[in-house]
Amino acid sequence: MQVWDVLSRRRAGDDWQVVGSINAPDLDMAMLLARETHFRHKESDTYAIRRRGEGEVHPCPDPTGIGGIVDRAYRRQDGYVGVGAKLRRVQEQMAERGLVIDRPRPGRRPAGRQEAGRGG
Amino acid sequence: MTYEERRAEFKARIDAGEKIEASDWMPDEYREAALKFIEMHANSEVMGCLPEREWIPRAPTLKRKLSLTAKVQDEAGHGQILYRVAEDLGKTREQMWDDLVNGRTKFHNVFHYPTESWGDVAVIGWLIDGAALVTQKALLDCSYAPYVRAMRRICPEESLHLRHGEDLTLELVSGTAEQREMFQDAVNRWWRPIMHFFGPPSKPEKDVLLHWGIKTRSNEDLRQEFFTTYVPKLWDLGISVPDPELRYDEDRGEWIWSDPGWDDFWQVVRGNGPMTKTRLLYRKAMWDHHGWVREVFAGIPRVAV
Repeated sequence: MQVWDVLSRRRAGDDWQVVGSINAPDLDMAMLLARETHFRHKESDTYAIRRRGEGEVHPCPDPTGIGGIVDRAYRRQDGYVGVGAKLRRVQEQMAERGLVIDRPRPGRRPAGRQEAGRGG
Repeated sequence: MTYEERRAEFKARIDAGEKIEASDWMPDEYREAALKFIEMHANSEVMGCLPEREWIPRAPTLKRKLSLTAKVQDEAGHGQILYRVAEDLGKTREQMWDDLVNGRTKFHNVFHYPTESWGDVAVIGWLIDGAALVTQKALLDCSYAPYVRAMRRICPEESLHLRHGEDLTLELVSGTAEQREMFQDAVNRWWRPIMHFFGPPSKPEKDVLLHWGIKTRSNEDLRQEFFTTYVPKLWDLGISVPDPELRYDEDRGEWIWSDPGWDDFWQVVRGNGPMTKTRLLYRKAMWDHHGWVREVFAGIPRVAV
């Protein structure tokens, strides 16, 4: 099985950078595996592969659709925008309900109720 | 130049912050330590698919089913990337897989336990992936360059998984009393395996992985960061952890925690965890069942001719 280095670049005109490698028996399969293994989350607009030990770089012939063409926000950070704000909101709710566990933590000594590990 | 001189020169490169490429000369003990560590990491990624995979059919909504499926796919992809890195250190993927399914090599302790409820999926996604992210971010500064490149690929995905787990957690803790209890119960069961995840306290000066810069931070250092990042968040959500001693000591500048007991940990290390044999049997069955795919894949050039 051949080893192929996987290459990426931030912008057109930048040098290709090695980002990893894959095993594949031929160029077509290498191109497909590189796309699925390294760019599934649309980490780059395009990519290339190079058979290890050889100089020829093979750019992806059709980079459209990298990362998928249907809504797959659940595969990307932008699918979880607002989780940090939700955390703060829920913490405020728990404080209002008196459920916060007040134990020594960095930058804050306990002021009120302490709870010593009710679980377990 | 003698072997010892080359070895000393190699160590000086690492101490100076240089990165090692697969094609560079390296001492045998560096190659062996890096291979063992990366192989175990790869094993853990593919074995880590299994506890969560069991919950894909039982996910409560289509959105959760999609995101959990994508997460499991990511973990398998991490395994692909890491086995490739390990191969360049001199061991074939077939041999690594054979060693894994026959119990000759290890995978991380947390994947030897059963998942009993949807609350476990939230704990794995937030706290166990959180623990993994603490350790994996530290590897971004590892001395072995191909591993660093792999971690640059993997860490953003683990960060995404963390968001997924945090979102699940918030839904449960802000939901019904039963949902909160489900999450609390999961935290109670998983806390000890999470403490074990970082390994027993050890002497950094005797850690061969730290010596060669393959790991960059000690077990205890990483555990302390985990406490600082996650324990206050749990407490603010009204979720306790089953360690009555756990607290931050301002004067010492560190978290105080009680010894969780290490019998379970050593049982798991010996391959006797509650789910070890079941999960390895499943992996072996899948390996055998899909043998024809590998044969077709390897045979494509011959068929084409």
